[in-house]
Amino acid sequence: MAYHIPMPIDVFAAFGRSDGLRLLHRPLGLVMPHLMGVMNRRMICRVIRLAGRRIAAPSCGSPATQLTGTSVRSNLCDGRVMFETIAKAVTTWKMDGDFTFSDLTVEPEACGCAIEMPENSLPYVLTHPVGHAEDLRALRVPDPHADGRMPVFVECVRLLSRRFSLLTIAGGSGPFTLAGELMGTERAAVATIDDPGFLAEVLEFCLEVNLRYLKALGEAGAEVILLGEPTAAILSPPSFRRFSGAYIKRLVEEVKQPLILHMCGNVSHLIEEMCATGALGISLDGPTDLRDAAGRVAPHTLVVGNLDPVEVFLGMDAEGVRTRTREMLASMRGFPYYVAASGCDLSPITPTRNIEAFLETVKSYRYQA
Amino acid sequence: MPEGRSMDVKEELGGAIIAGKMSETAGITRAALDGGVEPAALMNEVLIPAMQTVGDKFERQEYFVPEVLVSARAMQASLAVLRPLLAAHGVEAVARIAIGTVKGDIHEIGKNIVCMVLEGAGFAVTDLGVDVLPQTFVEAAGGVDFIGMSSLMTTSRDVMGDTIRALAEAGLRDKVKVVVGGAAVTLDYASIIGADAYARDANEAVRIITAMA
Repeated sequence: MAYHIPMPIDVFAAFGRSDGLRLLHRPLGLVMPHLMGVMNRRMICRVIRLAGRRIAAPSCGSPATQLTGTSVRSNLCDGRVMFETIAKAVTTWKMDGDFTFSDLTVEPEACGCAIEMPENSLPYVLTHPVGHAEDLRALRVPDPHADGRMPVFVECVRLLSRRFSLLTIAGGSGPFTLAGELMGTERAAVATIDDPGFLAEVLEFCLEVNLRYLKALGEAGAEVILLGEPTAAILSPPSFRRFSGAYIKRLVEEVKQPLILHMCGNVSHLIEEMCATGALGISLDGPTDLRDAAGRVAPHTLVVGNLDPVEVFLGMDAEGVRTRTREMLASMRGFPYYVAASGCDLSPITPTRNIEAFLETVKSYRYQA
Repeated sequence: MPEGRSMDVKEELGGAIIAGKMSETAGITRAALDGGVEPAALMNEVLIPAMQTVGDKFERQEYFVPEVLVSARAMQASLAVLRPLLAAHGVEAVARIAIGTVKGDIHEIGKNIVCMVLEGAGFAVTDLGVDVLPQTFVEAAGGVDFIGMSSLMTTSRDVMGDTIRALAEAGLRDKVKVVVGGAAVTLDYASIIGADAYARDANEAVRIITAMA
């Protein structure tokens, strides 16, 4: 490489809004892609490769409520409250990107599932309205600007993208995960074997929901979509390809923003299938062998992960978090397209000093691409 | 039933369970019983080994959760025919266990698989469902040997510790063994809250609980 531009902080800002003076201080070669209105896989990979340090992206919306003294529930019901919490986290913790909260009940709720919203925990789905074909026919694709809490997240993304020159990352639910909420997870799992035709009909509906919502998030200013598809982790590789990957591939093709595909649990058996969706990156949970996965991904695919949210972030002290973070970073030496992150959503009660310890350790880690 | 035919029908039933043919297993079970095969023989020589095979396939990643679910349902269809006969013949369960997902959490697929796999291993299982209060576990503890608790949410996992304390306050802690699991739980956490055992997945749950029974 003829040039190597060290960027000690805020590397994602190179792709941010052009209305801030901060951009004047960015290396021209990295600002240009944004000014040209182009944001693609190779450019993001190049920025990460040339950043001069590892990028840190813990999923810390819920614990950030400790900074603002707000409840998780109030954030998930009000786009401005969520924006202010994320803004506080970004400025306090010097985040490398701004992320919406992760909430996989947004799409199911907008489709008619009843949900339970605890005050300080992520909500969960109570009812599964799709039992038969007629139930499915009675559903309509929700309007992201009017139905359920979709407008809350659209507004939050809009405010974040106006406020920060960092990369704005918005979350969404994957098609099989949404189908699992509409049908019931166990029913959807069994349907992969005993009722694949009906499951495919439900998935087509889910795809329409995903497309409309993700496009709205993109129009509001999201630059990357973090697509959570945790339920599909229970599938075999061929079933994943047929009932999840094929639909995510269509999302990748039709949504302008690059997608990072997140899956919970141990998905070592699905790495190649996840990459085959064409996603910009794959985000992996604690139980998945990160180094093994990184050695199997397609070229120019980001690997994101995977410090354990329960065992490490919640169960250890700050020194323990630092040690485990350094070990993780060391294990990923030699993989240029790597983003250090928590394996999954951090609990709202995660000690903030542990999040700070993680961010400090990642940012200070001496790394040479 | 002649020995050869008896073997055939047992193999047929075991194969149907492993293949997850839920619509066939009840019929094959009745045919075997009509042919003179003892209910206990079907349980011990067919259902339990078949579910062990399913568990082995899961560990080898030949089977995944959907395949385990359909096999477990096929086993349950057979067990529904056998259960009253086993009771009538005085065949006792390996042990009795009450299982639930703790209050504040409604994840059930893992808990359901553990329930079904334990039934397939000869346990008498009471499924307490999801969002289960400590008091409900305490009420169930009087009639069982084990309490199983699942939590996939870090915000609700402390209910497990609350339940163990409630068992102690009710004077039942020494009567039952407590086994915990779920994505929000680790071996260390299980130790901290005073559980007797931690199981990483359904197969491990069966191994651990069988060893403790």
